[in-house]
Amino acid sequence: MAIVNFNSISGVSTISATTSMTVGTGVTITTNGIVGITSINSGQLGGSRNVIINGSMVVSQRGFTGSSGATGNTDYAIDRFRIEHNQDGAVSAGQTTMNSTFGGNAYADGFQSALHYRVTTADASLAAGQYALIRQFIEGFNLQGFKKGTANAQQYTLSFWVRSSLTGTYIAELEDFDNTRQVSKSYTIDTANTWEKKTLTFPADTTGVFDNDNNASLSVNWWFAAGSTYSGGTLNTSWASTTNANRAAGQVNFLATAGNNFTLTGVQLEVGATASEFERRSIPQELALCQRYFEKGTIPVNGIVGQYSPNAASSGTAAGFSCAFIPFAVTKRATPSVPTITTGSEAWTIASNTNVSAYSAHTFTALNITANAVRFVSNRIAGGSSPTNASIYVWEGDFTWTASAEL
Amino acid sequence: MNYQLLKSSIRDTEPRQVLMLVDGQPVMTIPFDPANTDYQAYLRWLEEGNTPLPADEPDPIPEPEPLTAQQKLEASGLTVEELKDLLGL
Repeated sequence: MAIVNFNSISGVSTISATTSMTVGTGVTITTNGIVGITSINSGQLGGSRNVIINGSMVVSQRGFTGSSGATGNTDYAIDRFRIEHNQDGAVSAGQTTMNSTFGGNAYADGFQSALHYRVTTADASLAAGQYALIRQFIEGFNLQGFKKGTANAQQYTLSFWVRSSLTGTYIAELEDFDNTRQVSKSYTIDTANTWEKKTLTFPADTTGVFDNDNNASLSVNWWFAAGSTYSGGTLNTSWASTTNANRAAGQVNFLATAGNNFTLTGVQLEVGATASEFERRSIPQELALCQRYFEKGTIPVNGIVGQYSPNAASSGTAAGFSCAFIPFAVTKRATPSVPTITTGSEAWTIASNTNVSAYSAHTFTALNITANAVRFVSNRIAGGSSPTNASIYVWEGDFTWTASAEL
Repeated sequence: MNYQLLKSSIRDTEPRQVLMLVDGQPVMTIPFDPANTDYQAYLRWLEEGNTPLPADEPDPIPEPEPLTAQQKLEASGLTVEELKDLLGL
């Protein structure tokens, strides 16, 4: 092995080493800038560069799939990615698994999950106010690195893998809710049904600071269709106060034909003008990040989930007496909303201190919710008017609950 | 869609959340947290001039059955003879 030791080098334009170079202790390396380096270790430079959560589309707690997807306006097709639309057709979106055949270059780049969006009913003629898009909201706490609204404001680089059955011009947008500003960039699907890597750099914005809080400050939007209300002007490629007509000018009408499909993965939004290697997170990390906004839990069959509480007596449709206290795995962004759970006719049993009281459908309503836990109360069952030692356990099937603190 | 105010327990003097109703059936509990987007939607619903259903008053805690004389005697730990002696009977 060749070893070169030196204290200083002057007038040297090129240093080459065929094996290795060792810098001795006590040597200070000073530089006015390193240029021309396109890769350092060809991997992650540091943690938390990517402000997009679930960009590799691996977490899908709601269970929507490419073939049985989310359809409703504002549904979350996959964790953190929400579909939004107002149109006369219909769409479906969910998680799809890739293989070497379908995944193409994205699969070869290390992505085996993707968000699959398809048109199930066409809308070939959009009314002015109609539109369709996918978005991810980002809370202000996670955006301060962009230094928006300051003299040191940074650029934004959005990179992603995409495959679409329809070629043409598409629009990606950054939408600032704190200051009602936005900026858009177009990209082109060059070849149908072929994975393409897209990189879009958005300018810095010295106007309008992102709030440093837990509310939605920014949304990254992938447009699919835009009526004249959103496309009638000129595409706005510099940050400006939001003018709807300039948000998605030039967007192809992806909804025009039933069967059109669009697949997205490897999404990254980071500070600066260069797209770095996709930031890989472990599954526990990615899941926990998603659970700050939405969590789904299951108590397995035959598990006792609650018991009588003297303070459980409640009100209205939730009138009941049995409590199920469930702590969340992850503290939520805000106090979450919790859907009411109605069981099947024989899915549950509530036992008194003397005997099984009833097999019947029960309604469980969340009565106390914090960012860390929820307490459910069941409705009063027939023959169980004044129990003193009731408990709830799963008789058939699992007890599945959700809590949503989405932005 | 409608909403009904909801008290969490018999100790609540004021509602702390609201129940979303669809076709009269409860579908979701929404806490009064300004950062909760469902609560924000509820506030917009109020601004449109709507009024939620009032909260039902909580069910009272069932009163215990009164003890019989025999139960009271057993609870005291005294025998009948000891009780007579104590009372000078």
